[in-house]
Amino acid sequence: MSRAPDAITANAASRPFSAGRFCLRFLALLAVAFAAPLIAPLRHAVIEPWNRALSVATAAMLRLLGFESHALAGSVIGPGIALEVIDACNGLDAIAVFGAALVALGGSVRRRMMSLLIGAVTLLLLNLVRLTGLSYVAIQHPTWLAQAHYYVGQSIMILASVLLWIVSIRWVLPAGVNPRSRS
Amino acid sequence: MDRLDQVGPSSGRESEIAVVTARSPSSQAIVAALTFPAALCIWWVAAPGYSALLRQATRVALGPFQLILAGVAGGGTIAVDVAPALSGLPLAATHVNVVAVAVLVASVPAASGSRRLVMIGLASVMLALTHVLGVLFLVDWSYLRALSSASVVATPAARAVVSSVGYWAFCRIAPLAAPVLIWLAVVRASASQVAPRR
Repeated sequence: MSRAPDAITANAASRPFSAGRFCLRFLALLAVAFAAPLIAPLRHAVIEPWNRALSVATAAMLRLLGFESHALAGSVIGPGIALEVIDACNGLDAIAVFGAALVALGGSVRRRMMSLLIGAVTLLLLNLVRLTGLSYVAIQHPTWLAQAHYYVGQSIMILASVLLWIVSIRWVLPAGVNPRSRS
Repeated sequence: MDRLDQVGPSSGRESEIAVVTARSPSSQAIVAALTFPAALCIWWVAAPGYSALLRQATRVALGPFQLILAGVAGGGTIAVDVAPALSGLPLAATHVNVVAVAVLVASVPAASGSRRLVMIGLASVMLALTHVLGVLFLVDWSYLRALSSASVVATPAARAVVSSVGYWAFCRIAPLAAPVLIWLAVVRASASQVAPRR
């Protein structure tokens, strides 16, 4: 596997990676990320519109698959189903884990922000696919919905967020801690 | 100076994460993606037993807790309804993170089989413990009402804050943080087995 060429040109003055510091930062950032939706103005301005937008997008995806469906007040209405998109379904949990782990990592701010943007978009698209898949399961195989929702869908989102972070590490770690760089 | 000599087992642990990730970040992702269906199938078989274990652990943990509360509150019996916390989302949140941890641990290069199994086992126990702790904050908040009557948590607002913080910390944040932290622990433990490539 080829080495990322920018790994050796990153900020060499950055402090080396410290697992203890990372864990503290990660948990603190995660706590902040989870507390943010509890702030009412933020909730009304961002979270609730986002959940409604997801229901609209999911309904559109279902229509592409040939199912008659529409969104109504944050719920996806389809043949025999009415699924509400709540906070735990909106993908922001996975983005919070990915973002907190990425920011806590240290290294180049620009690269972390770029990784955050790419990762967030990827996770949001993946979540849209997950919601569409769950709606499909609810329509076609309703008895499987609980398992698909609780186990398969959530596992995929959590795994995706951590795997994206692992892939990002190499790009954002400063040269000072890259084992393959030379001074 | 070649910095490879800074990342060996004798050089501290600061760069171990870089040793492993620089070696094969994409292949770890591929291994994880391939392992996921297998892990899910295995978990499908193990999940009922794990659920039963969680329910039992929660009831065992609540027993002495209720006695303490009864003592603090000045005697009597405090009923705690555990049913809402032992079904649905709280339980599933713990389950899916065990699966995620198993897949991630399996993807770390150079980790030995026994180390992987130990870490997955530890992760399962740790997630079970955080689940039980979270349940203590979630179960109908009845124990907090008991504390309130004993003036330990005096106001409804304080009660709500304690309950929310406890639930979010143990039932939401801890399970979601677990895959990252356990993956990091396995990487650190395995780094000495990874020979840096020149």
